[in-house]
Amino acid sequence: MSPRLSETLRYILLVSIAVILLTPIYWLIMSSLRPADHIFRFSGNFSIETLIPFAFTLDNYSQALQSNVGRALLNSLFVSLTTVICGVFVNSLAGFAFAVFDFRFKKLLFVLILLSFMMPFESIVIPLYTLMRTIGWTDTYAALIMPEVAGGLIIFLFYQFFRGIPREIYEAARMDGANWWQIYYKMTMPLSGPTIATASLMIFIHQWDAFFWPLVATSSERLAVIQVAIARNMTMEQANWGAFFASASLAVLVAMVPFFWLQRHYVKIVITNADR
Amino acid sequence: MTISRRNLIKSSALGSLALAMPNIVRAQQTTLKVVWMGWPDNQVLPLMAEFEKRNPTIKLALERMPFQQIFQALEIRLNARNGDPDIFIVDSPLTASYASRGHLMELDSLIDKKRFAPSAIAAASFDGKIYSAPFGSSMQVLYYNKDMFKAAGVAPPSADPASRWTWEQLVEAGKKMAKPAENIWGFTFEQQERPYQLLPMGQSLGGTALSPDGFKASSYIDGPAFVEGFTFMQKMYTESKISPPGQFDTALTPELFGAGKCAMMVAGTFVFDTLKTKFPNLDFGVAPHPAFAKGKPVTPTGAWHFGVNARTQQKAAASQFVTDMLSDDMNVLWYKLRPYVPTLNAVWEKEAASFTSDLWKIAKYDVQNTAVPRPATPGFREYEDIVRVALRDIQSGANAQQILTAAAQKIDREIAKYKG
Repeated sequence: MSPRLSETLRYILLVSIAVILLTPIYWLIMSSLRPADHIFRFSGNFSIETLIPFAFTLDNYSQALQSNVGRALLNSLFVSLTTVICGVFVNSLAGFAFAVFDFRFKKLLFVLILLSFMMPFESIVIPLYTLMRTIGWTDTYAALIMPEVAGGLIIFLFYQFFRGIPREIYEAARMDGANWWQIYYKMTMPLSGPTIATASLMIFIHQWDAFFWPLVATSSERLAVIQVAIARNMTMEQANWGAFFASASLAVLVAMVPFFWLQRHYVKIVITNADR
Repeated sequence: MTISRRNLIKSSALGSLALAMPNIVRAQQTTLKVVWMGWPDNQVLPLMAEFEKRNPTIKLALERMPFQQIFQALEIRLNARNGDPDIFIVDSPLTASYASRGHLMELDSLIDKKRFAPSAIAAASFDGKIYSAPFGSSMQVLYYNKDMFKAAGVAPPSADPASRWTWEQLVEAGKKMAKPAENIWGFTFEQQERPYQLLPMGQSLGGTALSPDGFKASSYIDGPAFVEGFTFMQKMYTESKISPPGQFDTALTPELFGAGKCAMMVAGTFVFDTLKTKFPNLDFGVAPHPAFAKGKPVTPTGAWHFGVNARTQQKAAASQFVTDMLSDDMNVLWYKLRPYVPTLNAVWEKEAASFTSDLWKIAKYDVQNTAVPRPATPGFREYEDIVRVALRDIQSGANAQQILTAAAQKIDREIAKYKG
């Protein structure tokens, strides 16, 4: 096969995969621009009308914004960003400790941390809710943020990265009189840009998509996060599909911003880790 | 003027009362946390606003939860075993489940049984006492698309309960209109996997969905009547292909019917207004819920009640909520906002003029004559979950007898924990 042909075939394959993956998102966004009775009219038979809305409206967006969606977007942004900032700090410190120090029960504790992210959330939700209730955090931002700050998977990610740094470097820095805080803060953290980017993205997306826990832990309308606000557009037999698609489109678009911004680093760490 | 000691005491008492007044009012102001179904704003908020207007010292912290998650989320809140929420919405068959676990306050002193339909009081009771406040029942009718019937040359079903269609007739008519390849269907249940809508398939053939004591499903839900009824249902998906498979979202099926892609739909009275407003060009009629030719008519009923958390710290305000919400005029308002079949006798009388349509004539007849509530058992939550999965499996072609027997055994195991 000539290189030209193989390249063409490769592109055809890649483009078709992209089309398959993007069509639902495209359909979601297009549907958010259609009037209510047009949304499903062309969904059964695939035709040009399925792809292009010939009747066009922004009503769905104005409806979505009139309800709680604007506030919910801000809530989600606040919760996600605060969790990212706290999460990167706490988890990187934990990862650093596991990678650099030797202490009693280190292996046992590390296994517990690994177990923590394999545990299904459903199994801890009742005790977690009772705990939040006891310390008086239900229906506050703290209930949305604090349980998600420490994460086994993120600690593991930092641990893997810090372990890759030769021990001699730490020892040299100690000889030069740096304390451990300076080593963590001035030496290792500046090196771990891609790890921080990956961890931030993972925490951000996790919090952005959070639905069941926020629904249980908070009851006030002013604390509703975006996924809860979206679900409110679905009632038992009378879904407001237009507002539903509009708010879902807004949620997707906002969530894409940090991804595009940090994507370069995200890809980098996947590649470097693969090399190891 | 001399100031007597008595006057001095009196005036200082009055003075301090005046100073304390704002605090007393504030102290009397209570907030009730209310978890309600995620019905649309315009159907819920006016009702709650009316309550607050009548009770200026009670504020409602209202939270509406989506239908798909409300039961799980409530389960977690209630299992924390404190007074949050004070009031919560109760799907009527769950009354026994909540009451047996101590989540519901007894309401006997607040409810005058004579004002309600006996079936509603039965659904609200557990162990001879009332635990949930009946706030509306439900009735299913057969909606049909007049244009699709005309185009296929099929005579539409009659609105008279005496000449209700049989399931066999429905399938024959459905076959003439369904074109599965073009996503055009003959018939759909609004709730394709919910026991609520599907149990009548077996009950119409003489089946009983659970033992009368509420603890045994084997030889009931897997008895010959349900096997036959559900096998018949299965064929609508696999053989005659008049029904759309896999449409389990209760928000999607009315959409299918409304968009003119399905000729018939069994759905609640509460869908009527939605169809009218959302699909103004849709020309549709209503007919009674079908029954089997050799069986008897059976229709689903029961709906939303609400209850008071047994651990609430605001007993007085919560009791006030129950009394007020169950008053005649609040029930009339609720009926106007969201037309469920009323459980309060007075609503039928006060709104008599609105019950003259075909829809309400049918609903009234069936509620009084053919309605059978879902089984009363403390294990209804588990029962419903297991039967839902079984119905999905049967619709996708699995052997009904095997699936139902396995489901019945599983239900028996799950319910056993509530015994004793």
